[in-house]
Amino acid sequence: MNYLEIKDLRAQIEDKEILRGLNLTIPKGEVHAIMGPNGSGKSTLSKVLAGHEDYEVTSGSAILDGEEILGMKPDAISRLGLFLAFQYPLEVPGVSIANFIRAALQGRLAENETIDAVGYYKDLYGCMDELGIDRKFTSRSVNEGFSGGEKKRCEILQMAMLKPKYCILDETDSGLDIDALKIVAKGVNQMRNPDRGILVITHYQRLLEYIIPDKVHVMWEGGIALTGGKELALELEAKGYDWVREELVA
Amino acid sequence: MNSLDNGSSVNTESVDSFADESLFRAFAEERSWEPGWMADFRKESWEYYRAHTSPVHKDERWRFSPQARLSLSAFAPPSGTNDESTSVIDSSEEDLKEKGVTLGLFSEVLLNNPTVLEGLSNLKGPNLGADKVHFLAQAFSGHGIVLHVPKGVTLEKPIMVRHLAPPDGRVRFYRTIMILEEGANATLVETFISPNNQDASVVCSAANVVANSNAKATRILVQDLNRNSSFYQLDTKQACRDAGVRCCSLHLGSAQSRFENLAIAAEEGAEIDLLGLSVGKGTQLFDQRTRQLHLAPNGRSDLLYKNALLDQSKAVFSGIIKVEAQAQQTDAYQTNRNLLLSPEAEADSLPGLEILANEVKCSHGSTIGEIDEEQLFYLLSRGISKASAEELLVNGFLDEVLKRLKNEELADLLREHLKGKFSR
Ligand SMILES: Nc1ncnc2c1ncn2[C@@H]1O[C@H](COP(=O)(O)OP(=O)(O)OP(=O)(O)O)[C@@H](O)[C@H]1O
Ligand SMILES: [Mg+2]
Repeated sequence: MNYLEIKDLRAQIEDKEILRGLNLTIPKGEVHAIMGPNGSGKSTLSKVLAGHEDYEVTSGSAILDGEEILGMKPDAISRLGLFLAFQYPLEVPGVSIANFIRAALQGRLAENETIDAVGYYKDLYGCMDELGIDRKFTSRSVNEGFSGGEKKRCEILQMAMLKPKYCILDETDSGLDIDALKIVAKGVNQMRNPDRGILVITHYQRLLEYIIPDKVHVMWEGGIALTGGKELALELEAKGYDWVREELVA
Repeated sequence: MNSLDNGSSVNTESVDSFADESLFRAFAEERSWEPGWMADFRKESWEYYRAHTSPVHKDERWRFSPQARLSLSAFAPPSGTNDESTSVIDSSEEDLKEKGVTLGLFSEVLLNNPTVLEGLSNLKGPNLGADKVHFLAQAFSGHGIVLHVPKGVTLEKPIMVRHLAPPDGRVRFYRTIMILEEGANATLVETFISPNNQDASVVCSAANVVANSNAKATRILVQDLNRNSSFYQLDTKQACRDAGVRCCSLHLGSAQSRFENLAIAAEEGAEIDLLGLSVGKGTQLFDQRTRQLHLAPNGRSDLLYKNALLDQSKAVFSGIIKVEAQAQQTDAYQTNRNLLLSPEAEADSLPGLEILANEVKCSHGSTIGEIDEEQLFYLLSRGISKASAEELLVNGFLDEVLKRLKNEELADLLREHLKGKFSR
């Protein structure tokens, strides 16, 4: 029950198969990392799990705490407890961060319940302070005119506020300066707990020095090609993806 | 009982009870207490109505409009009695009398203070297509509101007015007369609502806003009628020397509505802002016609109309900026943006310029955009339901217009109405 289990997942877009029989299990309480070359399908995996309807799932399953999420609507998947920090967060003009996150929390309540505004702002400001986001941002439109790093922090802010059971962070470290990287890593580490599974997608070993993963997977042409401990990231950094190719041929 | 109109009026109307002389006479009879000039003005307007022949289907000003939906033919004209009190004025400004302000229902002012309305026949309609309906509004007006603010007087708080639509099968004509004398400053907010969710009736609001030199007039109209109603908004706004007029219409209700807006920068340095927001659901129709007319130099006018269209709703926008030869150094802008939230929603946009002066800054633009699927996915992926996501995106889209009000209190008031549109 207590894991996100992906089995034999195949998905395509416009008749091009991108995920080709992928298997991966993320238990609660663990942090896993996925590394892999550009175009290997990392973002596709995260979007398929989040319920993006452009991708056609042709086989397989993704079970979140016992429930099949493939075929569910994105909002239902989110409410079940999956969170995706986008590689490229979208701009939503005219919708303030405060209203956006509030709507997301409201979506988790029964129809006759409403959010207590005072408690909400207390939580929101608390999370913002932790992540070094100026409180003025609450009234700014979501991601509009944000720098690359500000967008990524804002993703983590949403994650912290929504307290999901499983988090997928798609290259949240890309575009962050060194200080921001540390802050974001701290934010993620604070969310590590026995009731939460985390998957970080990254190109850089450096992030994994701050967020120490329990397992590292290498994604290759739409599947998980190698799995190891945190030292696998170091090995990859040293040897490059040609090494993976050779390993696979061997 | 009804006279046949021989097809000379709106082409879909074969029976026209408004043209029935005995009905008009009965109406006038009921209002025999009015000053003679008013009776003459009604009669003259009614005769214009009868004489006016415009084959609407050939009229460029009705292009793209499913005008049959806006026909009045199925509705009964109002009676002349001052029946129920249908409009409620809420003014927290206490010393209106002291300040010499005239504020009251149209019929009240006509009875108690008719001199304020003596210039009524000089206040023209927008005449952007629904000319006949405006003649009717002049002939049959019995409801509405009059606000006259004397020279140099500022009203700090907005005057709030709530108008109730007539009962099923009826038309009611509301006149809004807002006149600000030199240097005066006032805000008028009018809300139109229905007595219930069923009654199919027609509300016709014909407003004239006049800001004399250095005056600042703000007028907000909220149309939140039930979904069986029809609505006409026929507005003329005029700004004199260095005066400012800011107008905003929020259209949420009615099955169909036609709004015509004529804004005249009549004297040097006049400034006019025309704002419009509409949210369409079901098969709602918003038919919008505007004209920014610059008659004098150094004027500025800026129009921003935004329509968010869900389901099978439809908006038509047709606007013209006209700058006369003498109106040099005019800045005039016109923007119409449409957001389609459904593949069946529809928008037509016809912006236009007619510039006779050579030293002006003018631009017009229009966009018809669909909802960005990736943006929607982003919202959904946060657990926000599709309906709430659409509401957020619509509010986000309209926010630009609300900001232009430059008054958070008024913006919040409109936001409240917008909320209601989505909780229905
Ligand atoms: N909407 C789409 N239409 C066509 N091809 C797509 C689409 N989305 C993804 N692809 C293709 O699928 C492949 C995998 O893309 P994906 O974004 O999942 O890679 P990635 O592993 O996240 O790469 P990166 O490290 O660059 O972020 C790429 O070849 C990409 O071009
Ligand atoms: Mg990617």
